[in-house]
Order: sequence, then C-alpha cells, then structure tokens
Amino acid sequence: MRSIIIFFICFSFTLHAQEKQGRVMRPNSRGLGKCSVIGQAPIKVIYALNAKDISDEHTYLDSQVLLIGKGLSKLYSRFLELNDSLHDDFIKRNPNATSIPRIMFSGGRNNQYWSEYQFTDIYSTNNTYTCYAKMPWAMERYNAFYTESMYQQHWTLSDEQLSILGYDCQKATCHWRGRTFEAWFTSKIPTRLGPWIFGGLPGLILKLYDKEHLYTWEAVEIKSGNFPIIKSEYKGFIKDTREHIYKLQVAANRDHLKTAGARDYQTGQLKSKPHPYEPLEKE
Amino acid sequence: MKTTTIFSLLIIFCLKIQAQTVIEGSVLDAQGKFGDAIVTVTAKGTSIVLAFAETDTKGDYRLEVNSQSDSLTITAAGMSIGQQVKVVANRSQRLNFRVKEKVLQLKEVKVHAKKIRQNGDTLNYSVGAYQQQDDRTIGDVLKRMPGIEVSDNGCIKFNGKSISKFYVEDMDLLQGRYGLATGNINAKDVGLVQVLENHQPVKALQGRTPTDDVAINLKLRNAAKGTVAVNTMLGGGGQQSGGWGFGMRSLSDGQNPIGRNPLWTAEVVGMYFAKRRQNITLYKGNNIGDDVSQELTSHYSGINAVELVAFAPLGVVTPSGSGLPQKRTFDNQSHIVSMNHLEKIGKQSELTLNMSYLHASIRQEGVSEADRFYSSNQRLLSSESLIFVTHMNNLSTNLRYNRNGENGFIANVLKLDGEWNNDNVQSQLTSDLTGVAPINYGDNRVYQYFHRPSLTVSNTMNLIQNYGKRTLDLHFSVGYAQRPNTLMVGVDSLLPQTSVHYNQELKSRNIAGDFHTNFTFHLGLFSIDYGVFANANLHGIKTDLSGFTNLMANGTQNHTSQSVLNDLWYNTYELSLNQQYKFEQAGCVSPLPAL
Repeated sequence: MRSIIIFFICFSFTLHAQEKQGRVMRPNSRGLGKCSVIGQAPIKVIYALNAKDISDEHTYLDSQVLLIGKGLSKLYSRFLELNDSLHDDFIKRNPNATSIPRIMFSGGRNNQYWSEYQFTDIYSTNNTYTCYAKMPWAMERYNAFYTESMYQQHWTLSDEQLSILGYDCQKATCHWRGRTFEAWFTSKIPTRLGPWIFGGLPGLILKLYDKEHLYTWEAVEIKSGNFPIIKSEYKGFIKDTREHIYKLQVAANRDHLKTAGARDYQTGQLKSKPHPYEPLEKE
Repeated sequence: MKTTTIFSLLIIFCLKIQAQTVIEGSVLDAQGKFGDAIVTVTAKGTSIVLAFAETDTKGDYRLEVNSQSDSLTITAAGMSIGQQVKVVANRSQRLNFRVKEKVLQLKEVKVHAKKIRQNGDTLNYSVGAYQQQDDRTIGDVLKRMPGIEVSDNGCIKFNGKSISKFYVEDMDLLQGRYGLATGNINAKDVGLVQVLENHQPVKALQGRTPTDDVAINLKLRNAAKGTVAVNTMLGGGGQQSGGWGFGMRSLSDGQNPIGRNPLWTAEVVGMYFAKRRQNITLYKGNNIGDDVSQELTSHYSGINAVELVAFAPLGVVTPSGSGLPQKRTFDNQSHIVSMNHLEKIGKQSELTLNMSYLHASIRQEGVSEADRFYSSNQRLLSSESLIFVTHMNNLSTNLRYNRNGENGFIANVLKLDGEWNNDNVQSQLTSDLTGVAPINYGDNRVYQYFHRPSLTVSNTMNLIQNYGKRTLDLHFSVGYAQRPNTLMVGVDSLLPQTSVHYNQELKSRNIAGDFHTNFTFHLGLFSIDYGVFANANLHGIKTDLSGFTNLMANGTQNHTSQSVLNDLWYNTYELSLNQQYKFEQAGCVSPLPAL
C-alpha cells in the first residue's frame, strides 16, 4: 500500500530560486493628469505581490487593486496611485515650486526601483486587455500601450483546496509563455479575472504563483461597493506591440543603463551594469 | 494480420472506458436576453469544480464532464445574476437556466494573519511567518520564534524553562528524543507551532493539580498528513591526509596518514504522520566527524523509571584532547538506525515503540613528548604515544503503552538497553637520557583492551485513578542492570624480557525496585495526600584480578599469579509512610509543613 515512495534528494545548499528583480530606477512621478470616470465597479480586490509577510504591507513588492465592473475592469498599483495623488496634491498646494520630490510615497520593500508588474495599468473590456506600460527612468520616451487577448491560459483543474481569505479555493495549473503557474480560484466570485493578465477560470483567482515562486500574487482584501473606474490621460503614450515592450522591459531589467542609452559623460562610452533577472513571462 | 489485431486491440484499450457527459443549454433572463454567466459542474456533495464553460454571445454554453457519481450539480453564476444551482442526473442532456438580475453579495474580507495568536494557555506561532529562505527543517524555524530557544545539544526551552513534552499532531512519538523531529521534519510541512503552557498531559489530573510545565505541539499542514515523506542526503569528499611522524619518534610502524579517504555522509529519513499512526525511521551515517547520536539525546523521560547503576570503576588511559572542535578531530565511522512508531488503539490508548541502534568506530591518536634539561650536557627525553580505537554498538529500545482517559490513566514502559562496546589502546612509552652517558630507562609497548558490554532492562507501570474528587496514584518500577567488564593491560618491555600481563574481571549487577502509592483527596482549597513508599536496591559486585608478580624475600620473582577476588552484595531496603497538606489556589501553592 505505502510502497509508493516519493524520492527526492535535497542538497544542503538550497538551490532556491531568488526572486530576481532588476535594479531599475523609477521614473519621476508624473501625477495622474486629467482623468475621466469610465465605469463603476461593484467589487474591489487588493492583491499583494511577493509579500514576505502577508499581514505587513511594507514587505510587499507591490499592492495592486483589481476593480471588477460589468464588462470592464482595471488593474493598477495602489502604491503608485498614492504616490501620484500626493504628487498632484503637492503641485496644487505649491503652485510656485520650482522642483518636486522625485518620489512622494515609498510603499513596499523595493520602493526605490521599477518593476513592469507595478508600473503597468491594465484595462480589460470586450475580451481584450489594454496595457499602459510606464517605462523606467530615462526610458520614458518608450511609454506605450499595447493590447493582449484575454483568457490566454489553458487551465487544468485539480482537486486540491485551500482556504484563502475565508473563501474555499480550488487549484488549477497551466503552462503559459514558458512557465508553469498554479492558481487558486474561488467559484463564489463568478468572474474570470485574476492578477496581471491571468484569467479564464470559473472564479476569481485569489492566489497565483509560478512553480519556482519567483512571482506570487495573493489577495489580501475583497470589498464590495460602488467604486469608480478612473482612466487617466496617459499623455505621450504611443501605440506599440507587446513584443517590443516586452523586449524593452526585459532588457531594462537585465541592464538598465545600457538599455536607456546612458553614456559616461567623460568618455562618451555606453555604460553597462548587468543584473540577473528572471521575467515572469519567458517569451 | 497479427500486427493489425494487436494494433486494434491497443486502440480498444486506449479508448476511454468512462462515458463522457455533455450538458448544454442556455442562460437567459426573463426577457430572453442572454446573461453573462459562467456555468460550472461539481459532483454532488463536493465543491470541487470538474468542468466549466462561459456562455457565448447568444447565451449558449456547452459542458463536457467525466464523472463517476450519479448526479451532478450545475451552477450558473455571474456578477449581475447571482448564483443559480440545479442538481441533475449524470447523463447527457439539455439544461436551460432562467436567471434574474441580482446583485452579487460578497462578504468583505481582509487578511489578518497574526503571527502569534494566544488561545488560553496556548500560543500559536505561524511557521510561514517566521520561516526564511534557507530554513530547511522545523528546528531552524523554531530558533527564530520569540520565547523559544534551542540550545546546541538540541534542548528546547520556552522562556527559560525546558519543555516537558514534545508532540507532533498531539501525539508524543519520540518520547523525549525530539531532536529526531526538529532535525528532520521539513519546515514547509509544519503549519503551526503551539506552545502549551501549564500543560498537564495526564487527563485525569487536569484541573486537579497545578503545573507550570510547558509543552510544544507541531501542527502539520494538510499536505503533509497521511503521506510518506522520504528525505535523502548524500555527501562525499576527500581530505588531505598528511604523513605522520613526530619529532624523533614515529608512531606505530612507519608513516600512517591521519584521517580516512574518501569522506562520506549519508542520511535517509522516512516520516509518516497520520491520524492514528505516526512513524519516523531514519538512517544516518558519516565519517566526517559528525556526532550522529546527538539527535538521539533524550531530553525528558516519559515516566520515572527506577534508577539503575551498575558500578564499574574501570577505564583505559586515552590520549588527551586537543581543545579543537570535535568535528575537526573525530576520526570516525558512525552509523545509526532509528525506528519510532506510534499506533493509536481505540480512542484513548497509544502504543509507542522506539528503537535505535548505533554502530560506531572511533579512532584517536595522541603523542606527548617531554624534553628536559637534566644537566649541562644531558637531556631527559620521554615520550608517550597512544592510538585509541573504540568500537561501539548500542541498542536502545523502548515500548510504551498508555491509556489517557478522563478518569483513569495507565502507562507501562518497558525499556531495554544493550551495549557491546570495547576500547583498544596501543601505546608506546619511552624514556631516555641522552648526552654524555646515555641511559635507556624503558621502552615499553603497552596494550590496553577493555571489553565493556552492559545490559539494562526495566519495566515501569504508572496508574492514576480518580474516584470523584479523590485521586489514587500507583507507581511500580523494577529493573536489572549488569556490566560484565574485562580490562586487560599488557606491557611489553623492549628491555630484556620483562613482559607482564594483567587481567581485571568485573561483574557488576544492580537489581532495583520501586513502589509507591499516593492517595489524594481535596477538602475545599486544601489537598491532603497520604502515601506509602517502598524501595529495594541490590548491588552485586564480583571481581577477579590476575597477573601480578610477587617479589620474594630472596630476590627472585614469583610469577604464580595471585588473584584478588571480590564477591559481595550490598543491599538496601526502604519503606516509608508520608503525608502532605497543601493549600492550592490558582497561582499559589503552599505545602504546609508536613510530618
């Protein structure tokens, strides 16, 4: 009966994949600019990205908000929203200021650095995601938006269950863009959305991570109410393709200085400081 | 023809034996307009989704599901239509939903995972909150929890107090040898570490006698329960073994390299934790100087067994220590096998078997040299070099039965320990006067051989019975220990034929028995205790010494061996009656001066 023995060798030095975030500098705060309300959302979900301690948001890499409306949804970074609104507030109170602090709100643990998962706003409507990607410092000329089709992942449902935030969640796995992902969804919230551009399950994804645990999204709050979905102007964002933006983002994470085109002011040589980086999507 | 038959047979076998059920239909509202919905299938009785589909632009859906159950639960749900559930038979059919506009009601939730939760006398530490990346075993995470200290020898203390019990899933498998659990259970398998303060393991005594004992309980994650987990570790390497030669004397014959090559270490640990059964079986072996028996240190004993000491004051002279850490100087080949099994019989009874066997051979070498100025042109050079090899075979078994009921507690522990050890020391002692007039004072090879097996058997029984507010406590323990030791010392002198050989035989025995019974009854806040205590302790010692030579009066030597014999028994018997009066109130216990 118990003849099935799972055999695995564990080495004393753990080959544990570290979350490899690049050391990419943030762009300057721009504020929200002109905004318009494009819809209403009855459900607001807050996710923690790569939390070291789920109850302390200072250990999160980012805190992201997913507003679920009828036929429309928005995913954005809460830390950036706070930063942008403080920026706008500063300008309003100090109209004669000649300079502005670069970063107003430092949330999370990597708050000096940029991450494409934090700096991309995703709107979904009509089975399409429109992603507004804000690029890092010295690369703002590449700010762009691109579209992706929804429900790209093909999930395999599994029997395992886990309780997250009081909801009974079921496990599903998929292999997508080079990585294997595990998601825990609850069919009590009948929406096919989830964090980042994951979706397609018969319920809201409350926890999602790749097999190596490089990126983990976990829901920490679910609220119902009437939340306005606001879209800002995105001044200067050009239409681009996902492939081009993806290439720029991975290159920036691997070597920000070289990708931004930074040159040594004395020698004129292109500067380079490579950094190991494991992207969420491998292709 | 043959290949086509085989091929077609394979195809038939490959076809799905299970029939697939197809359920299709539409989800429409009262006006016939389509509703944006997700349709899911679950087997009746469970909430696990087997298949799902989304309605298309016309409101139609199609589900394909493979299930053995005879009925299925089909749910149509959506953000604006709420949830509608229908239970149908498991066969292909058409199923339509008529839904009404309904706002989805959600319960508002926020994550609250507190790191430490207090529950009466229980403190819950969440392992996930304290675990860091390089923590592999639960012992590594315990060190980080505030209040819990783990000392070098594995002893766990909470707020300075050593724990009295270590449970895994409320069962004490290891009976005090919890190093085996903290050093081998994976941190990722444990969900919570509970610290139980004022812990009384005997249910019959709970609420009757105050206690400030602390216990730790590990609560495993669901995935770790009921599965066999096997951890394996293999390591190998080599070491630079240099030549050995010291000063003017080389040890034994020629140059012997210190240390063995190749170096290896291996561990196989199998663990199983289920609701009625637990098992930890492991093998550890190495020759890199790690002390495998450290995890077997018993930090508390499950029961007060009678004390058995077989008196044997013999020993060999060994090389003195270097002061360096043991790991750097241990030249060993050690193996240990340990099997621990707990079986829950009935609701309140448990049967526990712990067995461990250690086999080790350890080698030590030491040299000491002294070079003294004797006079202006003479030096006294003396040196002592020893090679010490010890072989150890230790078997320790423990069989425990206990029944922990609300009104009665019974425990019986049978212990059997056996050791088959021997020590072997070869040494060379020389003493020379060098210089103008050299004299050799002695050049001896000394052999010491100490054969020291020992055996200890004991059985302890403990019975606690409540009669209303009165408690009867009965304790009976009896045991036998013996040590038949032999020490042989031989001195071969390299000077003209003076060799001697001494032989000391010693057989030491201890038979001991312990009986005590207590009867406690309570009068309000006072508790009155009457007891009878009896103890018998018998020590037997038998010795025989041979090999001494006698110097006769006329100067010749009498080589006839004279033996020195001992054969005696030293017995003590004790019987006493005692009484004790205590005033107990929560947090305050004052025993009144008892007679």
